[in-house]
Amino acid sequence: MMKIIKKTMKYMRTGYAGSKWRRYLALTVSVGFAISMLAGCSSGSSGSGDLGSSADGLENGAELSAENSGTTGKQEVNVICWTEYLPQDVLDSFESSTGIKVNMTTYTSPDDMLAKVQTSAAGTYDLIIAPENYVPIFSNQDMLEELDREKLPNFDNIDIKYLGRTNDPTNTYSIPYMFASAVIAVNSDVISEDVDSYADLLKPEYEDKIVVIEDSRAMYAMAAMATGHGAAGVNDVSDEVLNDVEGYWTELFPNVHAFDGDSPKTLLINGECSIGLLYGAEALLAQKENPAIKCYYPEEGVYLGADSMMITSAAKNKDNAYALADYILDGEVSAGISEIFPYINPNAAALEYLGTDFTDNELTNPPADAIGRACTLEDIGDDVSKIVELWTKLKG
Amino acid sequence: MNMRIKRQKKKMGSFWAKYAMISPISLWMYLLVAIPFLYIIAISFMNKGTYGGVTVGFTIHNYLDILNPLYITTFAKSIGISLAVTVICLLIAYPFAYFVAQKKVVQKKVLMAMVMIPFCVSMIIRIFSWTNILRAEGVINHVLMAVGLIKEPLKLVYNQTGAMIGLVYMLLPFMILPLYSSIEKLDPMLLEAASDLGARPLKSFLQITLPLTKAGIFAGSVMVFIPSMGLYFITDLMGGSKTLVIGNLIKNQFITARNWPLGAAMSVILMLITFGMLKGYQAAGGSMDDLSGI
Repeated sequence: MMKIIKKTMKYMRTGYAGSKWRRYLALTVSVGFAISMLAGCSSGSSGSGDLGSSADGLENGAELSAENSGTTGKQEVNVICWTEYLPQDVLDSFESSTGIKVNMTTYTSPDDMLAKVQTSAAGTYDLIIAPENYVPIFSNQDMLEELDREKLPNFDNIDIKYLGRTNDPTNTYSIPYMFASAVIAVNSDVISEDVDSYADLLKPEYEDKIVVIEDSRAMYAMAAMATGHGAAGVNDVSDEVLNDVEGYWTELFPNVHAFDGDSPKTLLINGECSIGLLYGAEALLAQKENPAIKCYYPEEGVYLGADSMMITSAAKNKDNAYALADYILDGEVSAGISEIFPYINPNAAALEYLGTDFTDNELTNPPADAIGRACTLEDIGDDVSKIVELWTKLKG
Repeated sequence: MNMRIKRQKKKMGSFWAKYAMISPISLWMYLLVAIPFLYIIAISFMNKGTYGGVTVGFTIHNYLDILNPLYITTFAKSIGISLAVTVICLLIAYPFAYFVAQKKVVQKKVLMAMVMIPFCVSMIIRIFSWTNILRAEGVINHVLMAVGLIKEPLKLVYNQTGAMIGLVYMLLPFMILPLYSSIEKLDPMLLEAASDLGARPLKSFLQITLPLTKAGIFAGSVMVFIPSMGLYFITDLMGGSKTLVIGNLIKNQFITARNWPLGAAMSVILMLITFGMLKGYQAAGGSMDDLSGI
């Protein structure tokens, strides 16, 4: 022992060896600090995890944990949802009627959402509101709760024609929230003719006039329908469809003024663009600003996406998530959401509260033939990289 | 013997004091620089997970994938854009820095503060303001059309021009600061001497001012060129998402294609380009201290 100390002292006094030794020590000290800090973080989170699981272990675990958090702090539920999709008013009234605080995380691209959910610790989010093609992605990884319909009495408000879509045929994991279509919106002050098909968009006189949503999957789907592959083509990345999509986009590119994933309606309202390929609700808001904006469901096929509510299997506030989902499914609440964000509402009870403005407008209540030629996006796994590669090629 | 122990004790005391002071900064560097850096390098050699993330294993196919002509062209184009941005920044910043350096102390402080103040406002907000100023019905086009200089609005935004304007605007201060500090150090007596000896202004600029401010030019160029390859949101917002810089490629791989390893491999290549630039800068006689600006 003495020998070691002596040796150490010697190292400390001598030149080179000493500096090397010190470097090691500096490294050890700082790594030690780093590890102790990280350990601090993880022990904190595992602590709360333990609390949750011990409560789950009990038969009346939910009640107990509710009581627990009632005494220790406020009840809460963590939600991740698109921006501009779930109004703050609804969350406030939910909080005042139930006492459950809603913590919202928002995203502007579903891919961001996926990245956020995947990289956060399990149970970070209790309720996910996301496009329907993400349902199988999550459920295949056992990340979703099999829904207990008993806890969702308002589920029956959903119009049956909006249930049982390909991505979750039995609605085991998901509840439809709202539906969004993509339409062609045209400022009829500037362009007098009808633009009712994807093929019309290719006309050379529309050069640099079109604003398009920045969503490679949606754009691929529309180009596949434009080139005659129908609703089935949107999930098909065979070389044939890829080539056709590339052909269509190469032709359309000179007409595109900008891609905008956040608020394409702005460019339509301020006159920067006179044609838009954008979501129905965005088009409707643009129409409210400028009544000259006309909308068309394209002839070749309609892009229709559902957003679904899902509860995560690792949710820390599962009962609160059920409570919020059921609250959203209430007819009057759902009508309130549609008044602010006028997407297509699958809630039959809500339609009774909404006026004829809502039910008579094709954008919020699409005609049967438009629904008839609509597509459903499915999860295509690794093949999505083919679409991204094509996108890079077109833009690069 | 007693003396020796005392001396050693004293040494030990200063030793711990030193490490107590060093450890916060080294902790910072490990947590925020070294660990993420190593993590990126590590996942660039792994296989992709279908829904993002990685599966553990060793492969170099991510690097082979970058050899795809598609990515090579985008890298090349991005480097071209960065070079153009650097040259434009230099042409604007040099006269400006020179002008400021001739002013009195108070004026200098005010002018340099005006270069820095925009940093207090979020980059995104400044970008949105620019798109409003530059768009077809924006201020610039309105004025030019009212004056009668142009008949059709100029296309200043939502194209490559817009992306370039955004990048130049955003990175200009990084060129001005090192240039200013090297121009300010320039001794005016040298120029007086040159003129006394009969050198014309152009000659004294080329033979005295330019060589003496070389350090600032190099430092500014490095500090503009490197970030300009990564600022993907500027090309998204001001370029209408129609042009790609390397940053867009990396972002698309991580977010849309859910191919983290390929995105990581691209980041590593970007880091190597940066490293190469810095080595070149050092080889040309640049000092790393100059890169810290003032």
